[in-house]
Parts: sequence; structure tokens; C-alpha cells
Amino acid sequence: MTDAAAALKAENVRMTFGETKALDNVSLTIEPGEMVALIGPSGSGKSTLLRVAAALQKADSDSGPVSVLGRVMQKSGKISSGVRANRARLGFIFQQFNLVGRLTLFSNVMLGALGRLPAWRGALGLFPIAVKQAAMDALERVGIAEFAGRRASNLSGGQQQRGAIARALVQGAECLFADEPIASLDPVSARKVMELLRELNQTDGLSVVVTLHQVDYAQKFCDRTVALNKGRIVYDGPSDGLDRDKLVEIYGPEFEVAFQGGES
Amino acid sequence: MIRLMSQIFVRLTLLLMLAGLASCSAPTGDDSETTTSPAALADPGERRTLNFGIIATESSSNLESNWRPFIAAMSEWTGYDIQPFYASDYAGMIQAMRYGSIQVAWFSNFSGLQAVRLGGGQVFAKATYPDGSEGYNSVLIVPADSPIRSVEDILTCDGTIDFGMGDPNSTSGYLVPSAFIFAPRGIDPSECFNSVRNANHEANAVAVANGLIDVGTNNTTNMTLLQRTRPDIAAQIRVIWTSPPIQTDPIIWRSDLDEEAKQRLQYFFMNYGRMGTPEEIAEAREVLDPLYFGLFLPSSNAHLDPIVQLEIVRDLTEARNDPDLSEAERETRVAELRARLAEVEAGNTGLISQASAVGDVQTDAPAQAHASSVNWIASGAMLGLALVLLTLLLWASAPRGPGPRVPLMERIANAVIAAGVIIILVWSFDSADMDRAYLLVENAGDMGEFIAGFFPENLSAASRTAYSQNLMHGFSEAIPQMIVTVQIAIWGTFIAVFAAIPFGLLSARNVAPNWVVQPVRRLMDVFRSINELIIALVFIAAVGLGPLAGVMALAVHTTGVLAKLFSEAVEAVDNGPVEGVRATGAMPLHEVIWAVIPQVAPLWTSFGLYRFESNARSATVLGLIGAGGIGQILFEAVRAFDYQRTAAIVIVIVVAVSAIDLLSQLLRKRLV
Repeated sequence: MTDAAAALKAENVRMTFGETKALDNVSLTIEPGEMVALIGPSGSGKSTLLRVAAALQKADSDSGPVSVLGRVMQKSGKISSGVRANRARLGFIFQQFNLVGRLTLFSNVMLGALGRLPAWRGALGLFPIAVKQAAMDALERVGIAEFAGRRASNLSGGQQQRGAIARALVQGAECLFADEPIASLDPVSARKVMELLRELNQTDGLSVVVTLHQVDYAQKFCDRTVALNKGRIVYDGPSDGLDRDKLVEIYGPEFEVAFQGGES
Repeated sequence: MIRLMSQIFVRLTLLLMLAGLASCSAPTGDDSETTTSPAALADPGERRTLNFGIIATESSSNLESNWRPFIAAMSEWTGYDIQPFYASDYAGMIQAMRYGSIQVAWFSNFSGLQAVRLGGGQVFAKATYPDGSEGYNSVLIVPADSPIRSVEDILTCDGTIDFGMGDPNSTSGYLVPSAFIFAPRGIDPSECFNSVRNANHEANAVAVANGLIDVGTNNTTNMTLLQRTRPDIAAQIRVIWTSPPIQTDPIIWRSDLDEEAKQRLQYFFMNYGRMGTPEEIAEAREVLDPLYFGLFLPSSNAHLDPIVQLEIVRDLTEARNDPDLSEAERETRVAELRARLAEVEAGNTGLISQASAVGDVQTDAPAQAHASSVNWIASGAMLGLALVLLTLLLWASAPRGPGPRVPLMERIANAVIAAGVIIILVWSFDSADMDRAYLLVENAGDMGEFIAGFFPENLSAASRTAYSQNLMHGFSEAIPQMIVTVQIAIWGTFIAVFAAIPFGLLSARNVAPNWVVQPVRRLMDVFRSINELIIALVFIAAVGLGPLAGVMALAVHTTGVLAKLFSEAVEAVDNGPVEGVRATGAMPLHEVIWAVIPQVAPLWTSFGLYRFESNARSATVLGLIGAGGIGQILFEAVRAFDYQRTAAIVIVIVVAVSAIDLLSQLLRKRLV
């Protein structure tokens, strides 16, 4: 990571679904090496922001530009022409893991190299030895190398999510966008995945942006938290600056009831 | 794996191209060769090949083994390699002659006329019967115990008689009775009789014997055969009318065949069984006898004049009775046909006929004319019934008591659909002949008797041995043919699966843009909706009769079916993994290969195997037009009333289809 371009830079990004404003003039900059949590109630626009940033979804035509690692991903509702090369530098982790169930874990992880290989090699599945080595190393790193030969669909949720992270490692991603990575996981797996993300952030210097439902995870694993509500940024600052009043402001009065229910 | 598949695909494409080239170049190569080589006789390595087409009719059972010695003699006498091609239906044969993949053929009279008109054929010889006679007769048959004594008894037209007409293209079953009984008396069978049904000779004979129809058409050849193979059925039938003789079958060659080949063929047909030592002559007679042939006689296109005449008489009848013609049109048409008839009788046919002749027969067949009459009262009644039904259904679905309310619009929609289904069933009742369904119960005994014909006559040891010998003989004949049929299905399905992968992806909305999806889908609709038999005719024009035409027909039709099924599977994939692959920076092609295809592979495999099973059955039918395989001998056996042989063939088909089903189940379990 030689250039000091922002990991994510959004300027006046707008996105509407029908009548609803999912993103309402959102501007946000995330510096390289940061680990940032995106929180907010359902429908606040946090997932949309990540998907727009990875150009998996088009923003409105009057929207400002979004760039990742200094490259414009989309602008005014048009996806940039070099988007595939840019996506290759960015790892995306999904709530439902999005591994290909009938392929082995090993194959799934190697798919991370598709963006770098010549098209014909990728099409025929002729992965070079170096990619195979990288895939095994990545699996070793996330701690599931022993399941390399299993079909992805036969693995537990936590194992699949770690497989998805290994795929991002094979990509050689310089930053990770994780969209609700632990929402479908049991508490133990969830903690392992969050620890893994933090380790990649701290040892490898990967920038990590993670959307979360659980405020306590944000506070425990991320230094900075950005909160959205109805498509607007309502908080951006240190995670430990989020007190009860702020949270009620973000999530609404029901939060208190839920929060206390969670404590008991 | 993918690499291996692409290699196979390349090889397959090459193979297909080569096959195409070979079949295109073969006829021209042959022609240039023969003009220079009378020495062909001397050097067997350079013998020219002539293709000889044989139409399987009622009078031919054990087609191939009976014809083999004749073909051998023909090869020996002409010095050519005579290659026989068999077909049960003449459409394929005419197509093959038209496009030059058959040079000589034995046709029936009516199909011969079509071959001369459409296939560039020319009559040069005709067959005689073993007893030396040059013709056969059309007959009318009634149940043995029927009160009907003569043809006059059925022409009272009191609307009580059920009449079994032959197939509209049959000379003896349709043309001759129309020309000699109905046309001269100005009688329209559909008005004269209670019902008129079109069926082939065998079906008519069985129906008469069982008293299901009062009168049926048939011919003397068929009756003789019936007496020999099913005396029990023949005994229940009485002949009440015999027509003037119909000529024997013509032997036809392509009129543009070179002189040398024509001379050699002429020499063979005119001298075979006549020339040589007494032993040689006796041997030839033995070869000809099972084919129902005596010696051959020279002939010309004039052989077909009586058929042209019959055809005009038939057209005349139709013109007189066609309700769609205005009075003026009718008069012009009748005058026109009369003039033509006069010309033909003066010996000047030139085989003229309007191209629509065949079409006319089909559209104006009596049974259909009867069905198409619009009945306004019935339509009114139907509408009334629909309204009553709707009201009833709405009333029945009205909400009563507690529970969520179904909105009125939804209830109306449901009632309309339910009423629609009932109305469609009622509407189809008459045309589908369901009003006669009670006969299924009433005549169950007759069905049983007929089916019993497939089993040993009695339980005596001798009968059982004879039966099992027949069965064994049938098996030994049917099994190799079944294997051919399965092999046709294997290649037809294989090609289709390969073609259906790109077509299926291109007709999936989530993979291809709409401007690609729509045209590809319409093309697949075309592939799918055209019957294999018709596609096969198209391919016969290029590759001639034989299994390859069948393979290609199955491949095209199956591509249409599989592409649709494949694309439906693609449209139902989970988009998550696709997005997962996209997010790594992969190309759309990679998304398809790595995220779509792995998801649909089990379904695709299952569809492919299922179509393979269906194709093994479809390939059977393709035998009808000469595409080879077990279908050919099946239709032969049925037409020859050879029920034990039929039983053996049916058993082989059932066993093979079940085996394929079991095998594909195993494969599916393994692959999914």
C-alpha cells in the first residue's frame, strides 16, 4: 500500500429505492489502515453504502463519486470502465458468505485469483501453482486448511465466512468491506470472525469497513464508528464516544428497551 | 474436466463437419466415376454404389432377411454395390430420391406417383405376383354374420352404418372405393353413413371382425396375408365387393440416372428369373417368392395413368361436395377436372396435377369436414353453462363464519379458472370421441381376445415351444436393432446437450440481455415445436435415409427442449454466489462458469438424462421414415399382423427403456 489514497471516499452519494432515500447525500472518508464499524437500524443505508462503494449497485444519476483506494468505482450512476481491476483490489464479505456451494472450499478460495489471471485460464480453471499455494496459505491463515477438500455447502457458517475471508486474501485485497459478516453466525463463530478481521487489520495493515447490528461488537473491535439513520450520517467518531443517549438518538426510543433486555 | 469437455466438443464438431462433407460429395463423385468405368465389373475395389429404396408394406415381413438374397443378386447382375434402404413411410423415401441419395426404389402405386411428381422419378419396370397376375383388388368387408349381402345394401344411406375408410393416401383403402363406388353415384360417404373413420387396413380388418364397424375397406393382398397369419380374424370377415384390378407396384429410378446405370438395371430386372440354367431360374424364383414377386415386366410412367385417373375422380367428388366453394367456383373446378379426365383417358397424362392435390385430401377428409361444422346452438348452450357454473362456484366460495376474508376479485378469478377448465373438458368431449368411451367396457372381451393374440394360443407344450421359438427369433432380431436405436438416442442427446448449454444460457434473463434472450427463445420454440419426423425429412435431403438423419432430428428437437429447461434452471439460481464471484473482480464469463454452472449442473444433468430416456423412445418412431433402428421392424411386424414378433419387439423396447431409466437414476444419484 504505497499510495496514501483513502481506502474509501464517498462524496455526496445519493441512492433512492422508489420513494425511499437509502443514501441521502452521504460523504465519508476512511483512511488506509483504519478499522471502521458502520452501524444503524435496518434500512438505515449502511449495507447500501458498502454495495455502492464496491459498484455492486448503481447510485442515482445525480450522485457524487465513490472511490476505493484512490480509483473511482462509480460516478453519477455510471459504473467506471476499469471497475473489475478495482474490485480485484477490494475484498467483499457477505452476510450469506456467497461461496459457491457445490465447489470445494479450495476451489472457492482460488476464485479470488480470477481478476488477476488471463481470461482463458480463469475460464478453463487452469490455476497456476502459485495460486494454489496462495489458496492453501490463506486457508491455513484463517484456520480451516483441513477442510480444503470439502464442498462449501457442507461447512458451518463460521467456516464458510472464514473461507470467504481467505478468498479475499488470495485476491491480495488491500481493503475489506464486510457486510453484516456475523449476522448469520452463532456467538462463538462471530467472535472468531471479528478477531480475524481485526488481526488482518493490525498485522497486515488492511483497511476494514464492517457493518454491524451489534453495537457492543463495534465498540469492542473498532476504533471508529459511523452511524447512519434514514440514509444520513448521524454519528462519526470514536467508538467509545457512543453513550446511551447517542444510541437512543440513532436507533430511536425503542433502543433503550432492547438494550436493557439484552443486559438482563 | 472442462478442458477434456472442450476437447470432446472440438472433436465432435470436426466429426460432424466431416460427416456433412462426405455426404455432400458422395453422389457427385459417383457420377463422374461411372461415365469412364465399364471396368467397374472387373475391379471390386472401385465398384460404384447404387442406393435402392424399399417401402415396407403389409406384404413384407422379415424385410431385411427376405430382401438380402435379392439385393445380392442385383449387385451381382449389375456389377454395382446395391445398398438397400428400408422405410415404412414413403415421405422419407420420396425426399431421399428427390435429393439424389436414392437412385432406384420400389414404390407402391400412389407413393410412386408422388415420387415421379416430386422426387424426379421415372417408372421403368413393374412387379407381378408369384402367380403371374399383374394386379390386386380393393375389397369391401363386413362381419361374417352381417345382414349386408352386397354393395347395394350399404348405399341406401339410411344413416345406420358405421363405415371404415382407408387412410386418405391409400390406393386400395380410399381412392379405389371413392372412385368406383361413391363418385359415380354422387354419394358423399360422410352424409350417407352414420360415421366414417379413416384407419389403416389392419385396424379396419380388426374393427370389422369385432363388429365395431359395419363395413370397411381393404385389399386382396392384405386379406390373403390375414388368412395366413390370423385365420381367427379372417374367419370373422366376409367380402361383399371386389374392385376391378389395381396394377402391381412400380419400380422407379431417378430420370436423370446415367444411361449405363439404366441399362444395367433394366438388364437385371428384365432377365432375372428368366435367363440362365434351369437351376438358376429356380433359385431366382425362390428369392422372389417371399417378396411376393413374380417376374418383372417393363413399364413406363403410363403405369401410373390409372392412379392419376383415380385421383381426378376423387378430386371431382370433393369439388362437388365442398361446402366452401361457391356455385360458380364449383362449376369451373368440375369443368376443369372433367377436361383433365378426358385428357388422361385419351392417354395424355404427363402426370399433371395441381400441387395442392395431396393437401386437398387431408383437409377435406370426411371425418374432419364433419367435425368442423360450427354449431351455434351448442356455443350458446356452452355460454349458458359457463355462466351457471360461475355463479355456482362463486356462491360455493362465499365466505361463511370466522376467518380471513378472501377478496372478491380473487374469488372471481378462481371461479373463472375453475369454470374454464370444466368448459374446456366439455368442449373437447365430442371431438375426442369420449362419447364412445363406454365401448371400452362393453367390448373389453374383444380387447382381451386381441391381446391374447400376443400370447401362445393354448397351454399345450407344443404351442408353448413354438411360441417361445418365435419369441426368441424376434428377440435375436430386435436386440441389435434396439441397440442401434439407443445409439441414435445417445448421439442425438449428446449433441443436444452441447448445443443447449450456450442456447440455454443465452435465453436466461439473468445472464443475457433481453435483445439476445428474445430471439434465442423464439428460435428454441421453433426447434421444440417441430416434430422430429419433419426435422428428419429435412436432414434426409442432406444425408439420405439412415440413422444420421435420425440423430440430427433428435438433436435439433432436443436442443429446443433442453435449452428451455436449462434456461429456467439458470433463472432460478441463487444470485449470492454470482455476486460473490463478481466482487473478486471476475469477468461475466467467469461468473457464469464458476457461479452459475456449478449451481445448475445437477439439474442440467438430470434434464439431460431424462431427455435421453425420452429420445430412446422417440428414436423408435423415427424408424417409420427410414431412420433405422427398432422402429422400422416394429412397424413392419405390426403391418404384417405378426403379433408374436410384435410382442418380442415390444418386450425388448420395454426392457431397454426400463434399463435406461434405472441406469440414469443411478447416474443422477452419483452426479447430483
